[in-house]
Amino acid sequence: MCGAFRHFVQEYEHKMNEGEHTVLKIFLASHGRFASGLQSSCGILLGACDNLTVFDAYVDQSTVQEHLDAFYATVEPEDEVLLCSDMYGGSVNQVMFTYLDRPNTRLVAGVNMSFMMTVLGEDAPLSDQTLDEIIQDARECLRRVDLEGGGASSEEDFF
Amino acid sequence: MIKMVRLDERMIHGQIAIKWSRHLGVDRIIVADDTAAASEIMQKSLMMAAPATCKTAIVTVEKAVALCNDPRAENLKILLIVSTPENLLKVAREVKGIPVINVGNYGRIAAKQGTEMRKTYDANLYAYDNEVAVFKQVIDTGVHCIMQTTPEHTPQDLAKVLKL
Repeated sequence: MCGAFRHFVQEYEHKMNEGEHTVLKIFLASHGRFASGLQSSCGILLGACDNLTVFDAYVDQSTVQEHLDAFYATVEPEDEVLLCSDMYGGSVNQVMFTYLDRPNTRLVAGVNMSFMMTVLGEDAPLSDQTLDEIIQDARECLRRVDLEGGGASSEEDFF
Repeated sequence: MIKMVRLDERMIHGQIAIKWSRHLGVDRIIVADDTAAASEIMQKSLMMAAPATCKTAIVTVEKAVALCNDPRAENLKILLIVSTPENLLKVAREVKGIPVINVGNYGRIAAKQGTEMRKTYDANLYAYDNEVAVFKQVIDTGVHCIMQTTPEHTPQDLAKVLKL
């Protein structure tokens, strides 16, 4: 099992135990329907993700700015904001970059499913260190998979 | 001890690895499936999805029954997974001390048996009439049978879902 997945499991357990409800608001935008697609995929595994707002750019006339402004209108002063983009250096990421001077705002570029699943299980406050660990674990889930897969089942040493 | 028996045609996957293993607090997962037990490649692919917190065994149904009924299993917290109604019936009859049977995902794969289509009982449960008859036998063993895809879903009585 990859690190991000394991991290998610730990955080999920922590969340269940602590019953924390501080709000981490996540905004994910992409070129085309990657953002809503990731939302759909994460929803299959996690159920509804109420703290996630998505925007698919360039599929109609609306802009990332409009949607970001509408999103920020829902953000309370005590909330933490995590902006997520599909690609570092992409135009969507460039627009989001200009929002980094807003309070409690961070931006992660080039997100994948492992990353989104993990952060969707997080609550505020989320430290920079934890966020960096989640990014590192999610990178490990982007990998070449060989025939060794996850290894052998433990029938012999089961007890 | 057995914490839950799960019928899931995807066997080990996200809902199992993330949700159920944590929700139940299990430390062992047994996949009881003759096909998977005979295939090294299926085993390795299932092991990729297995949570690191659970020792996982992918074995024949017969071996799974033996593992579950071994006295040493009493101190373990086991999630037992099967992928077919027939295997579910076998473990329901032969494994001692099952607290609950949870029918999760079944019937989406191979939707036709000849020309017969599986009937839809839930967004995650599709079955032929002969499979419903097997489910009826499972229910008749007296073990509590529910349908609950993830812990967040409200458990439904399996007999009611199948209109038995």
